[in-house]
Amino acid sequence: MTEVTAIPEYYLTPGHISEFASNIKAMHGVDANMCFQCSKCTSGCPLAEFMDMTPTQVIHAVRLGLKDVVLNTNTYWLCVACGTCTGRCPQETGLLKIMDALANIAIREGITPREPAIAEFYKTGLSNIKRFGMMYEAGVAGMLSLKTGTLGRDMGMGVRMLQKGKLDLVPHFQNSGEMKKLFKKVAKKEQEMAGS
Amino acid sequence: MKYAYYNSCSLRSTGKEYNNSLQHVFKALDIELEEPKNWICCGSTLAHNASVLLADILPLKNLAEIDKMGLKEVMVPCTACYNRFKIAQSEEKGDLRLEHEIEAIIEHKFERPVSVLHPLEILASEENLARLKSLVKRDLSHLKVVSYYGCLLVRPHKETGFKDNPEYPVTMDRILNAVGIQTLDWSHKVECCGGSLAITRPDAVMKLTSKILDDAMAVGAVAVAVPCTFCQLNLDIRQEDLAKQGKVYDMPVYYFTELIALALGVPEKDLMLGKHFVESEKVLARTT
Ligand code: SF4
Ligand code: SF4
Repeated sequence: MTEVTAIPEYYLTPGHISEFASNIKAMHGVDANMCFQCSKCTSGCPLAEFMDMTPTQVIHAVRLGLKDVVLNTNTYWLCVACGTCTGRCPQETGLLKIMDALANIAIREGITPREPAIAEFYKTGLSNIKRFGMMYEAGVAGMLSLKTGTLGRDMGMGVRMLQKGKLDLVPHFQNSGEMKKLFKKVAKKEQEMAGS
Repeated sequence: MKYAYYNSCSLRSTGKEYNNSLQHVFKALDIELEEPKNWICCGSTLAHNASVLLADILPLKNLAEIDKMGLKEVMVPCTACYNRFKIAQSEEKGDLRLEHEIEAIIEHKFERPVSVLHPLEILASEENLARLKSLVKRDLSHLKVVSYYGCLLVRPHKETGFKDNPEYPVTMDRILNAVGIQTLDWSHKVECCGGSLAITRPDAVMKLTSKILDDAMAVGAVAVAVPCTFCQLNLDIRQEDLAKQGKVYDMPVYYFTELIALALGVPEKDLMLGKHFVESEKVLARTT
């Protein structure tokens, strides 16, 4: 017989919004409390079948304040920002921005990503544009392979792209001084905002 | 007529053939394109995961450069860039506090917004459609194509404001029809191809691309036309892997600008069709 564990009680009076949801609202301007759980977002989400928690579940969990549970899913990493959820939501919850918010918070708080390769891809890609001012795709593919140990798989695609002349082996610099300056200013501003 | 041209990262690498064919088309139409010298990467699919502020700053910095060039309109062919430019603009407008902070960081104040246009929006004007029609030199009426718009152009529609119906757009169809190419009705026009997961989750991308290609096959298309470098790559390169699983499509994936250029009589050798993974010249030859 399965043991029935105590069902946690959530503070869900009408109009209540959890601290987690409030923080997301303050930082990113999206109100999870608008969601009425119709699941239209999930039925259109192309990646839903690969996700630990569906978009509908994520927004509800945010509303309940289940921060740790949500941050430990692969859902926001798999979100490709296709906008289907947001475009079709009858309540205009802006779920897409909640997905962004979750990734931003997870990175800031050092949560171990449930999709390490995807997290690494974004990280490598971003440090790459910071360095060169533009995307150096061959560099990202190469570095990613080394870091995630998926050399064989990525190289298959990388080699095919090289053969077609779709990747440049040497990086180009594009206004990279300006890019570094912007990264620095943004980091400073974000620290201020997090502190306030 | 002159537009600023945000000829960004992907158009210089994975999408060289997009840039090339686009230049041919705009040259034929006598529309001048000027690249901003001080451009930087707009952060595209990468920045918003780590920092939403950075994701707004990078496109707006580029728009500031364009504003300084004295141009009011910028053409942005990569749909990922287009999407980020539009989202950044709408966020800057939506939040006064953010607006001031952004202006301080990019050291620029916009007197009026720079309008961000996708080449599809430019080419679909009545005037340009008529001109395209008058410039046709090659009969491609045997080609039956499905127009695949993907997601980043049309969604979220409130932000991108792409001048078309977000669930059933027809802009690309109208342009291709104007140069004599038939387009078919189908149900996967705006379904997502998996976009930025190309290298990290090939399993997911293959599943999504095969659904799109299945529907294209079902309606009898011989090729897919796309306006986006992610879509082109995902739909094109994964066909080899899908064939290994027994799903043979052999469906060329063209940039819509390549098809227009061909119809306008630009010879195959001047385009970069050889960069496609699925052989695309056979389909053309079958006709003429
Ligand atoms: S579509 Fe909107 S209202 Fe419906 S479940 Fe999803 S987020 Fe909630
Ligand atoms: S934006 Fe993300 S969560 Fe929303 S439908 Fe697309 S992949 Fe799913």
